[in-house]
Amino acid sequence: MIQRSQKPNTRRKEFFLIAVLALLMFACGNKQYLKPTCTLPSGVNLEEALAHSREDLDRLECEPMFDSYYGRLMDVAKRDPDIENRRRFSDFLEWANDEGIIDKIQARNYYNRYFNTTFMSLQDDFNVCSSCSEDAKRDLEGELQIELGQKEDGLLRACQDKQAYYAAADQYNSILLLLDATCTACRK
Amino acid sequence: MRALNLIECVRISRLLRLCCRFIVPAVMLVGGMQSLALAKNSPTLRLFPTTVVESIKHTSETAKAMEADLQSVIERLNQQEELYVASKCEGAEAEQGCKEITGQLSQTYLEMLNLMESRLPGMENSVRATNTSLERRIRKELGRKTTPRGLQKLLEKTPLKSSEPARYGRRAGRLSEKFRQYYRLVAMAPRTGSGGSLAAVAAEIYLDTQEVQDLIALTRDEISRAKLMIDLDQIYGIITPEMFEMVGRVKTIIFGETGEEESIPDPPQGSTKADYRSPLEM
Repeated sequence: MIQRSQKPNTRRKEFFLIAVLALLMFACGNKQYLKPTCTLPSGVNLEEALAHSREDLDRLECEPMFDSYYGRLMDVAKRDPDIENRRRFSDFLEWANDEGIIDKIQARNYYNRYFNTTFMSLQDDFNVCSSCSEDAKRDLEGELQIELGQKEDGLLRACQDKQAYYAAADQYNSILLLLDATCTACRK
Repeated sequence: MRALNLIECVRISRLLRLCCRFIVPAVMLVGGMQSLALAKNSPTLRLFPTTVVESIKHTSETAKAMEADLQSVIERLNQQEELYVASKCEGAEAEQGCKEITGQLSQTYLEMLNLMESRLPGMENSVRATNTSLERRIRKELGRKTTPRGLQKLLEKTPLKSSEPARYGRRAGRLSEKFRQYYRLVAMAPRTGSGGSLAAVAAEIYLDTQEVQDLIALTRDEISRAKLMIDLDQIYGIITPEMFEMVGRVKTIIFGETGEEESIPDPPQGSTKADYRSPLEM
């Protein structure tokens, strides 16, 4: 008699366990579905793209994607050129710094590489002779060339500031000349 | 063919005279004006001390002496060329009179080559001295005292360009053209201020003198070969195309490619900064 009454109890327990498991699984599935995504900005309106990026980057999970967001914002800016874009990017980078997404050095680096004639690839720590080994000089020249491309994107394409870009390109040529002569003299 | 080649000989002499005429005043002005500009605008960057200026002056004097030596020979070459053309020797080289004119032209050209050959070692020494003193200054002032970022700070007053500058590349070219451009740059420097441009000028002169030393050595070789060919011409009485190819090479080595505008840094004209200044700007 006792054995008979125990069977339904065991079944109930089994049903209960299965129901709990099913609920848990369903809950997990729902949570995954609700998880917010980081979508890179697109379109042809920089203001909108910046607002979208600020919204996304405000979330912790999107912060590591800052570089991708910045690159995509540059693409949008090139399709929406305006001299005011340098101010927009500066404000955006300052906001990112205030929010702790990037530090001050990174913010300066992002800004100056694209929107200023100063070449960030040129270090300010050691003298020129220490950058004159074949490898170091070749690397530096490569970095300068890449940075000139970034200035082309920022100054010329995104801001349509031809004068500033041509000045940067001219300085690039002069820097290569000075590096060439100085390194030749340092090696002797 | 022979006539064309002879005319080319005379053209070489004209180019040489032109070259010397520009080098002499340009080098003197570079020396003088650069020191003036330096004194006014770049008190900390001593790239053109007296020794360097003296060295540049000496190069100009050597070039001037070479010009003086060559002047009478060049005049004679011109007269012979005129006679050659007036006598309608082109296409009639076998005529006795034309043969004589051709022989005289060859002799005068040989004389010019001899003069050049005797003057080139002096030029070489002078250029080497300029190169050595500039090398020392550049190593000290730009290599040891300055950081890579500092190099750009020197160039901060680079002029605003209205068109995209050509990518950096060093090219061989006429010395006279280069020095004329140095002069233009330096002549404007005292009015506008150009520590950075002077650094670029120093770099350009230094690399040029480096190149010129090699070119002088090559020129001396080519002169020896050209002289040999003229000697052979005296023996066999034939001017072969190979001989004139060699003359063409001498011409290229001495004068480089003509008609090319050499790119050297311009004098500064103003700030490159736009009105807006970001707090992030460096």
